[in-house]
Amino acid sequence: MTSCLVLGKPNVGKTLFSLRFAFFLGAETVRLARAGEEAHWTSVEAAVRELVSDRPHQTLELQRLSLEIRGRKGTRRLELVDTGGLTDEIPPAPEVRQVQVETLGLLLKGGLLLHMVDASAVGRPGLPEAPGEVDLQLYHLGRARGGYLLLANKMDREGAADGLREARRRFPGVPLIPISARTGLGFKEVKRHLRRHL
Amino acid sequence: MARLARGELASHQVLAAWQERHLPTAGEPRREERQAETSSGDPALVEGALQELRKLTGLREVAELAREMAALVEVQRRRRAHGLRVEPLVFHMVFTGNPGTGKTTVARILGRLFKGLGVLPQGHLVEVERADLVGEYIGHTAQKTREQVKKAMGGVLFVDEAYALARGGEKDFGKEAVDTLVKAMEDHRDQFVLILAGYRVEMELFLRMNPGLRSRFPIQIDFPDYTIEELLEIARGMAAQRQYRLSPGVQRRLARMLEERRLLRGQTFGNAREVRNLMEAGIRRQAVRLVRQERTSREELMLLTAEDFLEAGTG
Repeated sequence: MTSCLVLGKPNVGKTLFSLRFAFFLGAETVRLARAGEEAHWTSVEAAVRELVSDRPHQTLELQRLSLEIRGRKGTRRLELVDTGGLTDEIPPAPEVRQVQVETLGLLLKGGLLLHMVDASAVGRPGLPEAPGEVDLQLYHLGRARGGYLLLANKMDREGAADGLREARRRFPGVPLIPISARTGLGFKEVKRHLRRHL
Repeated sequence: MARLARGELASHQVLAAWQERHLPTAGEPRREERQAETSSGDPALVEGALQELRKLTGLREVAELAREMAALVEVQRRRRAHGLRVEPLVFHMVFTGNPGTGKTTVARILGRLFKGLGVLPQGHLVEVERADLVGEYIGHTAQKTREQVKKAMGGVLFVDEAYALARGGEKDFGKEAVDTLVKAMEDHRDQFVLILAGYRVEMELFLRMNPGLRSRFPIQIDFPDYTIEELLEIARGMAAQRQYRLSPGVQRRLARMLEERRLLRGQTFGNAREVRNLMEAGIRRQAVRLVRQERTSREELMLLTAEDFLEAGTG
C-alpha cells in the first residue's frame, strides 16, 4: 500500500484536510490508532471537533488513515498520513520535536508527498503559517524526487487568490492545486492526481 | 535526526542536509533520477543565453533550435512531475560550416543554456582539436582523449575540425580517439555534451566513414556562410561595441574588400573572423592617422574612415 504524507507548517490545515478528504473518498468511519487506544468517528464533524483546532501543533502523533480510491480501473488503496507541523525554528517542546523526527523519518522513506501551504498567508511573511525555509526544502526535495503535489489551502479566505499567484511564482514547475479543506474545493482534482500516481 | 530530537537542528536543516548527502552522490544514481535532481536550473541564465543567440547575425535557426531544446527540457521535467514517461534527452551535436561562421560562439552560449536548464552542472566549454586528442604511441591517444573528456565533465567538449581524426586512415591513432570519445559518451551519458565541428563536406565524409557515429548525434546544425550584408552588420556591431562608427564610405569599401577576399580564399574565407581582422587593422591604422594630429575631437576618435581601410585589404 502506498503511503501518502500530508506535510507542511503547523496550522496550515493538514488534519482538517486529511479527515475531510477521507470522508470525501467515501470512508464511512475514520479509525485512528493513537497511543495504544483506538478511536473512531463516523462523521467528519465529530472527528474534526476532536482533532482539529486553530492552534498550531495540535497534531502530536502521526495519524494514519487507510483509504481507497475507487476508479474505473479498479480500486487503489493508500494510507494517508497526517503529520505534525514542520517549522523553521527549533521547537522548544520535546514532544513537538519528536513528531517532527517521525515525520521526517517517514518522508525520507518515500511515498507520495502532499505538501500543504496556507495560500492566505503566502503574502504575509510575519505569520507563522507563511511559507518559509522548511517549505522551500520540501519543494526542492519533492521536485527532485517526484510524486509530489503542492496544495494551496485556505482558498476560501480573503487574500488567498493573491497568495496562490505568489505561490505559483515561488514554487514553479511542480503541480499545484488550490484547495479549501473547509469547503472541499479542489478535492476532486487531488483525488484524480493521486489516482494517477498510485 | 537525533539532533532534531535534541533540539539542536530545525527540520528544514535536516532536510537540506539530507538532500545534500543523498541526492547528488547516491553512488551511481539512475539516469532519470540524476536528470531529475540536476533539473533545478536557472531561468535567468536560460533567458540570457537565448537572448544572446537571438542577437547573433544570420543564425535565427540556431536560436529557434535552442528555444525548442529549452522547451523540451522544461516539458520533460513537468511530465516527470506528473508521473508521465520521459525519454532520455541526448544533446550531442555536429556543427558544420566554414571558419568564422559562429560555431564556437554558439557552442559557448549553448553551454550556458544547458547549465541554466540544469542539463549540465557547469556548462563550460573545452575546445580541442586533433592534436589535443591524438597521441604519439599506442595507448597514448586513449589517455589523452580521456583527459580532455575529464576536463569537459559537466560542460561541453567542442572538437574543432573533427574530420581530421579520420585523416590517416585505418592505422591512424585518430580512429582510436573517435572510439574513445564514443566510449566516453556511453560511460558518462549525460555528464557532458560532445560537439563535433568542421567543414561541411569533410564532416559528411567523416560521418560516413564512421557509420555508428551519426545516430549518436541527433542534432546537426549547419552554419551557412554569411552574406556580405550580414558581414557588414557584424562589422557595425563590432564597431558599436568598441564605440567606433563606420562612415558610409567605409561600409562600401569593406563590402568590396570582403567580396574580393571571399573570391580569393574560397572555403578558407574567414567570414566573421575576417571581419574582425579587418576591423582591428582599421582601428590600428586610424590610431596611426590620429596620433600625428595635435588635437583630436571625440567625433574623430570614434569615426573610422575609408582611409583607414585603404591598404588593409592586401594585408
